[in-house]
Amino acid sequence: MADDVAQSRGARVMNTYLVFIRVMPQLALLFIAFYGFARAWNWNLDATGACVLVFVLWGGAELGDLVRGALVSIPAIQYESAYMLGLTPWQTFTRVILPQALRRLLPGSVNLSTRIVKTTSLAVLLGVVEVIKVGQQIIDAHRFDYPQGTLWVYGVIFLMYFIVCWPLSLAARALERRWAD
Amino acid sequence: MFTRSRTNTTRRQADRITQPDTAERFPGLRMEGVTKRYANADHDVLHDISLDVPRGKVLVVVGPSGSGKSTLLRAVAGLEPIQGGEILLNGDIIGQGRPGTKAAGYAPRPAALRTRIGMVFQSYDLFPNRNVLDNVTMAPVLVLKRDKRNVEQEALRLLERVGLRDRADAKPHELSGGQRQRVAICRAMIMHPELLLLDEITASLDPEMVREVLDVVLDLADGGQTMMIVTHEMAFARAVADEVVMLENGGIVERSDNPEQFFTHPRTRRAQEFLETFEFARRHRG
Ligand SMILES: Nc1ncnc2c1ncn2[C@@H]1O[C@H](COP(=O)(O)OP(=O)(O)O)[C@@H](O)[C@H]1O
Ligand SMILES: [Mg+2]
Repeated sequence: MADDVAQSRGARVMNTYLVFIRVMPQLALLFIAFYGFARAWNWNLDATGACVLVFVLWGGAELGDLVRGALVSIPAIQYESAYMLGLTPWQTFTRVILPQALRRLLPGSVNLSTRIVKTTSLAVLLGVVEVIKVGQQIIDAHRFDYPQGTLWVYGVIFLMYFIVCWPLSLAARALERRWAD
Repeated sequence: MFTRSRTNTTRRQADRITQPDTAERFPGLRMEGVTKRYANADHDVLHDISLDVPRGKVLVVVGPSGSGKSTLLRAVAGLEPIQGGEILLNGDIIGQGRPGTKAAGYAPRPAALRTRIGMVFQSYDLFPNRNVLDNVTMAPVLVLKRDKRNVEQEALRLLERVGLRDRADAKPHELSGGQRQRVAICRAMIMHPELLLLDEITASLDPEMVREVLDVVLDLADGGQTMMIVTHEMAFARAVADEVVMLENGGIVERSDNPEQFFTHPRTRRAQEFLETFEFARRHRG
């Protein structure tokens, strides 16, 4: 089965995509998308567009790899039992394989989402006005009236990231408990 | 020791075989010249195997590790396509091979034929995301489109029979290995398979759990269930078998319809040597 997949042309293309995206540092991907595309094909992405493109491609590659890992980790006997019981391939996938794969996917995918959220902070290096940039602007604007402000502003930014990521890990933990096996 | 009430067996069998059997419609499983070669292998794993399992009888398959026992059962199950020969179940061709038949993936066998054979594996059979009752009722409801309430009642009766009715709501991970295998047997039996295949179903169990599983199998044998069993439990094999074949290197070394005699006085040297590996003796004492 693995051989068939490896031989198909689509799989080879996807594999190359996966390897390329995963070995590159996210910052390098951002620079390629922002400066490289413009240079090479005169394709002018604005900074936000470049970020969206890179995070979609990168997140997609990482999540795809997690899904693949979860699917291949299901023992062959699960497919074989389903075959013997007369289930169709679709029933096997939706009733037997997918529920198990989703469960195995959970910890890794939550970890990935928090990593993506945190990595978006790199966008500031392309000049995207995101939380850190706005924070810096606030600090700069009030440098003289509130010299202590720096700590507070970054503290609030920390809290904002926390508010996005923490519920994710909470939900994941709750689901893991409920699905425990 | 394991015992089987054989009188019971013959009576039940007489009940079951009602229609007259012609020579073409052999009642039970018939394998004719079955040959199996795995993809990229340079020799046959099963070579020209012919054997019968008459309806209501139990065939035990023994043989050293790697001799092809699992492959034999998997070929009958349709999990391995065959490259030669024919497999018939109660007169219907369920598998056919020609040289060049693809060697990987499942055999192309419609669901209506697959459900006529049940199989229990060594381990990890149960669907971990479903409780015991759902494991047993899933296929009759989903595949045979039977009424759910009806199926649940039958499932509970089956679970009762194997002593697990009170665990119907448990998840597989909450059960012991022996309990899991008994549920797997129920899951196969609720389909009323014409043939049940058991591949070393106690091989990964702790010794104290082997008994509870094998007693269930003996009970099925007494009920006239046609079975093909691979096992290394020789005392059990001797008790449950109506017929025995010994495999080695993908071929049949010895077959016998007298298990008592096979296990005490095998005819071939290879069978003698094989059975001796299960005996222990001290060469030096004192
Ligand atoms: N999927 C497979 N691909 C290639 N060779 C296999 C495969 N499964 C089993 N074999 C080989 O076939 C032979 C018989 O294996 P098996 O049927 O599992 O024997 P047994 O159950 O008697 O131990 C062994 O030599 C084994 O290595
Ligand atoms: Mg085996």
